[in-house]
Amino acid sequence: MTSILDYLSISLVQNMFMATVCACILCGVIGTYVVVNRMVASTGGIAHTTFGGVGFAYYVMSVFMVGWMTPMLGAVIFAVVAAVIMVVCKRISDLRQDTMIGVLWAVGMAIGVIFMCFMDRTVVVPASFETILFGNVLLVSRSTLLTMAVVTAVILIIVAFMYREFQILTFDQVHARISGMNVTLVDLVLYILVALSCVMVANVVGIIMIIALMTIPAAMANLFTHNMKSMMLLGTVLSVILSVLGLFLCLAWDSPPGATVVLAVGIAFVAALIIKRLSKAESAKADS
Amino acid sequence: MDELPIEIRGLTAGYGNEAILRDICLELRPNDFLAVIGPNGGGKTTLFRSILGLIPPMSGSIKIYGEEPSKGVRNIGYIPQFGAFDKSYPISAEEVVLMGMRVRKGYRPYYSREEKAMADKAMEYTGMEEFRGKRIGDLSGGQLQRVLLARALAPEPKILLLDEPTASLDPSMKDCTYDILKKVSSEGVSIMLITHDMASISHDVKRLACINRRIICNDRPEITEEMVELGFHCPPEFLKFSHSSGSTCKCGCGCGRDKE
Repeated sequence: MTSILDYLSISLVQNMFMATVCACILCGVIGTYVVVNRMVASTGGIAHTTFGGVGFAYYVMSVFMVGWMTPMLGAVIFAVVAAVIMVVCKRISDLRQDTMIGVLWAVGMAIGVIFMCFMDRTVVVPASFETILFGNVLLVSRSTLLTMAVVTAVILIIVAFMYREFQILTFDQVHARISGMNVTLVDLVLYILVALSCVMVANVVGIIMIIALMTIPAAMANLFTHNMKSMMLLGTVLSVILSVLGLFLCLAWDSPPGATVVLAVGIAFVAALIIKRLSKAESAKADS
Repeated sequence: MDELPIEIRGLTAGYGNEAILRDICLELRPNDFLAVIGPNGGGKTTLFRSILGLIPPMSGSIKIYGEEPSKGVRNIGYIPQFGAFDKSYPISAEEVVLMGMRVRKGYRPYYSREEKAMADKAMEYTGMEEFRGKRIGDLSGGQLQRVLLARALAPEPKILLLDEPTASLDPSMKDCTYDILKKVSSEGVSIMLITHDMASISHDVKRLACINRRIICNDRPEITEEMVELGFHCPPEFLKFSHSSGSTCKCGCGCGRDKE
């Protein structure tokens, strides 16, 4: 029988673990902003819009023979455009944000399906719908992994330099404006970071389950800490531990990696809620 | 001649095409302590938003030390209503106070030692130094109000604007807030506050204005009959009855009249 250590010597499995760690770092850091700033629905909207980008990239690759238009680049373009539309909508237009989220969510998916339908499958063989939507981290190549590592590093550097700005913006927008901040620009940067993170995380769990990894670890960290930096750190640590656990389970059970990771994270969240509730009840009993 | 801290001339302001304030003239003088009273919906918040440069005037002008609000706002420390904040936000009292330093320094990735020292000083000033590490969700309304006051005071502003500073506070916390404001006023800071609750106005206020789309100012800290009629659409007798009997009106404006 193949042991876990045998699996770890395979380069695809190594890529899988390293890609997962990159995604988890983004989930801990950017996921904290998503949870604290109540951007979960917006993140879901951006995540689903990326499907349009993947379809668009396959279409351009197969019909116009544009080799550099990879599915990841297409997803980045669509995610960033969705982020810009959301910020413009929020700041300038009277349209309700949840309406725009719904529109982007559905239209993004529809665009993806249409492009995938009209692409030339004799030139490019696309990944299956299942792989795009639910992910298959075993398919992460070295070049994709390198891209993920670079994007993760860039996002962390931007967060380090913009931490104060994001904190002021997400806590008190009026104070942000009074203190001379260009709130539209800073909000746009935050949304673009969320968009880039969504694309990176999609490599691990697929488009549909991005929202789980972007939300649950940070929300779980928030149960035990009320400091933003600690929340980012604990969210990252929890995310890495639970995702790696999920990957080991997927290897042991031969189950889909994305779904197994999300299930592990989800079960841990429920357990954390129960632990928190019990400890609260205990301390209330001790106080009385 | 020295520029006035705030000088408003013929201001008409509102949202979209609807003017909430019409032809407002108001000045905040050096070392002033001005309370602006008025009913809900009378334009108090619109007045503050105009002064802070958050909404552009439809006509008229606002000058802060002779400058447009976009530039002059750096002289202002603004204290919003504490009830407007998400108390589940993961942030400590100290981090909130440090936010005030952005008004002075603009964008910087980190807080300098000088900025931290100024924030410490402001927290000591408002008696919040022992709460610096506390999460804002664990603070009472009065404590959060003092944290916001410390944030406004940290960059050492020349003007303080307070939006309903004593709303939802118990009497001892109201006194505590006014004690701090009295101290700030004695150090030469010009103060302007808005409130709909006439009963909460301190004796330390030097001048009074009443706003209800128009504005009437009194150079003394007294409510005139015109103010009562403008602000609360009721004859002054109702107010006198209300104060003498100690009763509270149903509409909450302090006019003493039962709501239909």
